[in-house]
Amino acid sequence: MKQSKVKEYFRPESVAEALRILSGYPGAIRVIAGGTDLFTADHLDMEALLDVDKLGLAYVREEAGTLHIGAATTFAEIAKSPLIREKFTALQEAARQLADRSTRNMATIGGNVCTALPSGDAIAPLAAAGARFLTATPAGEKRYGVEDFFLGPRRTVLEKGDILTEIQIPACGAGEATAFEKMGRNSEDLAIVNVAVKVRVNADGSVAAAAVAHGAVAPTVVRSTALEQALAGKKLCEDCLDEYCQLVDQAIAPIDNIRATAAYRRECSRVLTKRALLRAYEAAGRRA
Amino acid sequence: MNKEYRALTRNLERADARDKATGAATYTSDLYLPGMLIAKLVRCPYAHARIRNIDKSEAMLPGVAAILTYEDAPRVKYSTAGYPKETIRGIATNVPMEYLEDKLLLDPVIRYQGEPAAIVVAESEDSAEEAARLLKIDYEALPHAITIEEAIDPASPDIHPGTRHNILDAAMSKGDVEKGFAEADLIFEDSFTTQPQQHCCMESSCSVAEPTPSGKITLWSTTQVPYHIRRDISEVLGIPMHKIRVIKPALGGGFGERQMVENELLCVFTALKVNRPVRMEMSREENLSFTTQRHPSKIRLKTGVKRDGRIVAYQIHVQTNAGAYTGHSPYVTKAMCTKNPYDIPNLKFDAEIVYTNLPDSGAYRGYGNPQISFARESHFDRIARELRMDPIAFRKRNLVKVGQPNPVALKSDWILESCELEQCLDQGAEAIGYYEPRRPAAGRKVYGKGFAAALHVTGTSACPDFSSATVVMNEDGTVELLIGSPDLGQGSDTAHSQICADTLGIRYEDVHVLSADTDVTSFDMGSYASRQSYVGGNAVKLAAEKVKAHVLNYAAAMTGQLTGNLDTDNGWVVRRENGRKVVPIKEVAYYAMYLSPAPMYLCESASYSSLNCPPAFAAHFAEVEVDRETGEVKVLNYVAAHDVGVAVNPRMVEGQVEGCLCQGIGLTLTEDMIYDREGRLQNRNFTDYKVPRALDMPQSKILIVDSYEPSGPFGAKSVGEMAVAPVPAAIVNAIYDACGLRMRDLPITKDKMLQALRQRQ
Amino acid sequence: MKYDISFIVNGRRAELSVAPGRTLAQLLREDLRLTGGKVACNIGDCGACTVIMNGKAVKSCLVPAMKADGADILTIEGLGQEKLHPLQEKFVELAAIQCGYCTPGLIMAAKAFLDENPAPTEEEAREAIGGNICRCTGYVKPVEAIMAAAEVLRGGRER
Repeated sequence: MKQSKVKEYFRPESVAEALRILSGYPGAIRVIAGGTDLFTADHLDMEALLDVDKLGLAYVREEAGTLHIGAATTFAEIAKSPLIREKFTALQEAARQLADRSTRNMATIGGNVCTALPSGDAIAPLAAAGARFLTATPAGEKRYGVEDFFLGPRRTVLEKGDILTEIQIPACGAGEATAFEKMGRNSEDLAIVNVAVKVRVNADGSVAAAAVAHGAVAPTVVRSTALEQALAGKKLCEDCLDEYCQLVDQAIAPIDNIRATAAYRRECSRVLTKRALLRAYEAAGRRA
Repeated sequence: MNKEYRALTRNLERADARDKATGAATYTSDLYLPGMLIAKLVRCPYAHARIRNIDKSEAMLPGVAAILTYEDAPRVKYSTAGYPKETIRGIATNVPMEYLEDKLLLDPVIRYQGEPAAIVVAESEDSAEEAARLLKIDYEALPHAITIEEAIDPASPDIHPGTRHNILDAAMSKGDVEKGFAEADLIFEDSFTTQPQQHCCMESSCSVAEPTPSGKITLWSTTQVPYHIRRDISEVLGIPMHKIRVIKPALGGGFGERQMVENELLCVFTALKVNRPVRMEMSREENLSFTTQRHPSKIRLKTGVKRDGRIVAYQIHVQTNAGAYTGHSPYVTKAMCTKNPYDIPNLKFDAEIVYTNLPDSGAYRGYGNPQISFARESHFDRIARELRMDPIAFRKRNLVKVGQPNPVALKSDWILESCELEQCLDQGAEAIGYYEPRRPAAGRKVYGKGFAAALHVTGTSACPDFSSATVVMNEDGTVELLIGSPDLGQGSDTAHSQICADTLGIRYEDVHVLSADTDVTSFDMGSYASRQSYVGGNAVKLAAEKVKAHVLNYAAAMTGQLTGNLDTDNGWVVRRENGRKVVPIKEVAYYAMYLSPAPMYLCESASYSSLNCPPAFAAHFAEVEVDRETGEVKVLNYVAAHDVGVAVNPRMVEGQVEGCLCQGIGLTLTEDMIYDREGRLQNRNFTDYKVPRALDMPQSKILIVDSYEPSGPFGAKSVGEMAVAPVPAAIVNAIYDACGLRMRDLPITKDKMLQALRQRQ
Repeated sequence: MKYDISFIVNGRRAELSVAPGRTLAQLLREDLRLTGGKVACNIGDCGACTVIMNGKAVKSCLVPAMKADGADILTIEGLGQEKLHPLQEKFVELAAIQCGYCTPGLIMAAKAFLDENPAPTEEEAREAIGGNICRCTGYVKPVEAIMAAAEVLRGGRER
């Protein structure tokens, strides 16, 4: 049986109560949101679970040009949200390709982020968009940028007793667009590689700024800074992107494993980056 | 009177469809008996090891009923193939039986990673798992060999004594292949490899055994071969057969995995030891890793042809990875020789069946045919192109024809009596537009079409291959059909009901099937080799004819008419010459049991032994898209044209082809079993063992061509396995058509395809 | 420690005392003997355990039993009690069932999907069952049955 050692299950109704329980619990206690990662294995070391589903952390709203997504918002909700489609397309594209419909009804963006698999589909979009993570901790609220939050596969800056509460992302405005691409072994897979980009265009159609984030090709999500710099001021097309995207190689360090070879991940990262950039560039131009 | 089929050829509702659609159907894994204990297998972490010591002291927790080891188990060897001894003896006459029946229930020597070393039996799954963790088994790890190359190397350990250093040889031939090559204008050689493929039945292997004080043991199990299981229980555990009852409840998939005998024996052995009902269920990881899988193969083909396309010599060399035990390996490997829809005068087949420290490879839908047909149809596609010949014309130049010797048996007097492969080729080519210009490249994507032709057996093509059926007519005219053949989900119960109904002349709704219960149903070898419609169906037909004869006799007695003037149709006894109704069958049945001065129980059995093996034929056509940037191969359109004889239930036939297509696409593009150097399966769940999903399937069209097999029940042959064999080559030939690359190693993952595309640049 | 939970399943109230590590699948199959949904992989990959919880299709092998407290759950047994649901009718009629092991989960996933998307394209229907593995049918007739059921549910003519 899964979670055969779990003795207690808490469903607090406020973040303050949740923090109290987490810091006060004498044994091994884990936070659970949708459970779609946690419940895939029997965690023999786990003695208690704290469920966040009653903390009111499921919401999507925009305030003054910033999107606020509650950590317990499911991917099903994100996949349907007109606000996300309009202001953060890459995240909705990622949500629609993450696992399958039934899983998305339970899986949460907070769970995807805190599980911190390099292949987590929400992570590259959050990195490309410059997201910030809000956490509730015994020492008060803390904020992290993507670059500080992820420490390695399945490791984040969060300590036992912390809860991720909200993710904040600058909403896409005029002349800005995002896009997401994912490669799997067949139609239903975790990402062999994934890529998310954000592009802002100038009035003349040249790139004002670009952000490119890669998943599943390094211990954490990485940004293609060399490529981002090379794109500035350029007008994009498929042929020139074929060349520019060679710069992706400088940012990534893919490995061989049973899912794919490093060489394949490298090739796909380049190709998917090109495809994502083309789409975001065209969309940004339409929104100029 | 010309009788129309009432049930045959109609898309009648499956006998068990409503139960399955409502969740009412009971599968073995749904059985929870009172007082039931849970058995867990403790598995060895080494690929090759000897058990030095087992320390149960910490594991005998409260709630643990027993921990069983090889010291508790009888030392009677058996074959995981489940075949009767005569069949096993016949497969390799120069090899002693002890090397063919080579498996012990529990063995102090372990021969593959994960082989059971002990059985823990406890009140709950949790306590069984806890006890398994605390059980201390001291192993002496031994050198091992995982791949064919490693096992053949003289430095590797002798995994399977009695063989030529881990090799079992097989050879067959016809004509004189050297003479043929000498006469050939051109000779072609190609090599191919195929990978292991796991069945992934949705229901994990599960057995529930219940002993009783009277000495009777009942076993419910996810088996395809209940009668083989019963016989093996009897032989290995020393129990007389009348004290053994094997039942196959609703079954969540077979595909050949459930033709393997092992888990059932372990469960019964355990139940008898603890004298309580025992449930033994594999987790998905166990089922993927430690049951059985399709034989990986290395195939070398050499073909000699005349410039006009006639094949004059054909030579096959095969190596298969048999795993640690013999099981099905000699049969599967040798079966590759005769899976040939061509008339080839000179043929030579050599095989090396190689033992390794892996779970034994076994029966999987197609039984060697998908491997060899992949190789052959890719090879022939190349030959045709090099001869500048239309690949379809090349096949037609060499197809076997009605009246010629049946190609599935090299040395027999069987004559082919039905073959519509040419129709399949023509209709399939038309439906997919094989001769139309190809779709032009779109961006970085290219398009192509390919096809493959194949045949498959209908029954085992070896004697004995027999089935039997019992037909019972109740006094209200309804019928119980009691047949041993297990319905795995392929619909054999339904097909048999249709055959029974039309033979007897009653309505399909008035037949109820009870199958696969060894205490109640008639004997059957089991559901494999696509035998049920033909061998089982013929037995059903014979039994139904016997009951029909009684019905006509009693009707004659009732009405004063002559039996010779009577027939049955749609629940009535009718006049033979014009179909006019005489008396309802239900009245005849009632008369026979209650009113006649000579009453009888209207129950008859019949056996049918197949002295023939009329092959099914198929031609498959695929259209693919190859993404030259990512290596993705998408099958866009697919046409499968089949000669099944007469289709007993056309929608069920289509369902078989569609299911085979899905498994075939998995075999071709994404499925693989990846072992590490220690023989441990790395991709042991559905996250990493990639079976096709709904979006991975093409638009498909199934064509059932007109055909009739004189020896089949109402003209039927088979379809259950046929449709896997042509899939890989159809796709591979389409890939070649699209981008000029001939892929020779399955699976063609995106990774592999991209590598090939890049290497060419 | 056991927790008392209370929920609605197939329209009837259930009250159970559960160990907190259990899954909803175990609750349904072992405690309530609703064995229609199956556990075929236990890690949420295959969808055979799919049920509808609070109107949404979920993989019950991944749902902690504790989340059932206060929930409204529909399983295959609750779908066609007096009369088969059009999905069940079409699966039967169009021969979309072979071994049947994936069928309950597939039908529940399809029902939840059609509840939200009553007029899908074939591609959308395929995508909707992307989380369900079927090893027997190749998905062809199940998708056909889903499209046919959708038409019936929209008030279209019976095929």
